[in-house]
Formats: sequence, C-alpha cells, structure tokens
Amino acid sequence: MRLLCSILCCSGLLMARPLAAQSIQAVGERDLRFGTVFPGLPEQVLRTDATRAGRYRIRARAGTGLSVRLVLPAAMVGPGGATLPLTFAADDGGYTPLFFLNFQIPFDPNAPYNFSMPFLGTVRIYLGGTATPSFAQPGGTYSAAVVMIVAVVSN
Amino acid sequence: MTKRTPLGLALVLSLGTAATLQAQTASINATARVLSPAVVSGVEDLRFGDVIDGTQKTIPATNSNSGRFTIQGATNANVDISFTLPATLAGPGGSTLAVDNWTGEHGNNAARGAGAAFTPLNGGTSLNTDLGATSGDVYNVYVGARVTSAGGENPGAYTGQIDMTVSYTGN
Repeated sequence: MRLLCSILCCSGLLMARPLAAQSIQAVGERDLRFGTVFPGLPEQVLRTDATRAGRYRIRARAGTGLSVRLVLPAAMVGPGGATLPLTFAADDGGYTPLFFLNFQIPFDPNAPYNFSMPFLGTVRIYLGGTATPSFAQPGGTYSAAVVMIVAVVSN
Repeated sequence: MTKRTPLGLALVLSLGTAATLQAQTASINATARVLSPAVVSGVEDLRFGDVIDGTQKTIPATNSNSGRFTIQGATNANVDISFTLPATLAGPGGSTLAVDNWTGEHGNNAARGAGAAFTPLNGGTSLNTDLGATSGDVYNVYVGARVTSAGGENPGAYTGQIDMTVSYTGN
C-alpha cells in the first residue's frame, strides 16, 4: 500500500505586511487671545490661562513617536499693516496627555518637542506668549497665524 | 498507479517598505485688540492776569481763568495722570514769581465747578481715574494755583509751563 502523499500544492504570495500607515490628527482648538491691549503696556498670556492660551489637539496611535514644531510669528498685523511684536519664552509651550490645564509639561515652543503618544491616544499642546505694543501703537484688531506641524518620528 | 502531484511551492516574500513619515499641520490665530492711544491736549492756560507787586493772587481750579487739559482715549479706560509743575514763573530781567498751592478738578465732560477736586503734585501720580464710557467723550482736567510777588520784581509778563502726562494702567 503506498502511502499517498498528498501534498497540497501551495502557492501564493506571502507578503510581510508593510508598517501600518501612521494616522495623525491635528487640529487647532483655541486661538491665543491677548484680548484688549493698551499702547505701551506689554500683555502676557500664560500657557496655563484657562481662556486665553492657545490650544491644539493631537491624536495618534499609542506609542507613536511624534515631533511637534510650532511656526511662531514675530508679530501680529493690524490696521494699515501696523505690526504688534510677539515673543515666546522658553516655557510658553505646554504639553499634556490629559485634559487638565495644570498638568502641563512645559517646553520651549521655539524648538521642536518630541514625545511618545500615551495610551489615551490624545494629547494637547498649549501656547502662551507676550505682546508688546508701542506707545504709539495704532488702535485696532491685530492677528497672526500660529501653525503647528506634527510629524511621526518612530512607531 | 499512483500519481504524484508535483509539488509546487511558490513563495514570494515581499518585504515591507520602511515606515512612512507623515506630517500633519494645524493652525490657530494669535489675536489682540489695541486701544487707541490717549490724546492729551492743553486747551486753556492758567491765567493769573495782573498781579500787584508784593501781593498774592490765587486762581482756583474752578475759576474761569484756570488751566484746562483734555483727554480723549479708550472708553472706560483707567488712567494715571501726573504733572510737572513749575515752582516759579519767569519774567523780564530774570525776575520770578513763586507759584504754589496747586488745586485741581477733573471729570468726564465736566464744566468748571462740576467735577471732582484733586491736588496736582509735581511728579508721581496725582490722579487715577476712568475715562468716559462713550466714544467721543472729553475728559477735562482743570488746574489752579497761587502766585506770590515778593515785591520789587520787574514789571512785565511772567510765564511757566505745566506738563500733564496720561498713562493707561491696563486695569
């Protein structure tokens, strides 16, 4: 009796799955609001200000290594092209894996900030700053865009 | 007869590509509203008029000859007001008349006699107040003083300068 060897012909393609495409969601949630500013009087907004600090939200898969870079404007622009100088101190950036304002980890917003996405998959970035109007600062509304760039650096 | 099926095995191994770097951007705005600078004007001089040699003459802030400054600025803005006050009026040939006993009155759109009294000081903040609540309001500050002739001064016109400075406090 012969053994019947039956070998299934196996054919096909075995492909190692490519590394999963990293999905990042980044949104701006709140403007950095200096409010009413008086000529000649600098106005500071702390990153812990509950209503005026700028805020972004980042979502990504837990464990994803991310790098955050803020493109900070040197000034806001107002009526007739008038400029209102802005400065950002080394502790004007804040990172928190939680939604609690006071649990921020400070960072220098003038430099990239790297972190690993925690298990909740969501973090927030806070931003403070100082506006310095001159005594002759023209009255009116001033604004400038503050762009956050988030990149995956490891996974 | 046993047939043997050919063994065929095809295995293709495809390695995944390296991790793809992705970047996302998000934007917020930095915003501010700057109040218009306060406009301060000296409108009326403090006029002592004729002063008899060897006498004193007082012009109170409520007098029609008192000096008047006006302030126009951001509505409801809190301001500090300070002065630089002359100690003397200078006249012909180096003669001087002493000036002291400064008095003041202030108020939004206030006429003389209808404002609140204060004492102007030389240097430092003399007054902290809020400007009017309506755009276009004029805040008036009146100043008066006393001039003293010690006697023997040269006759003629005597003058001095009063400076008033207004600063927003941000409060």
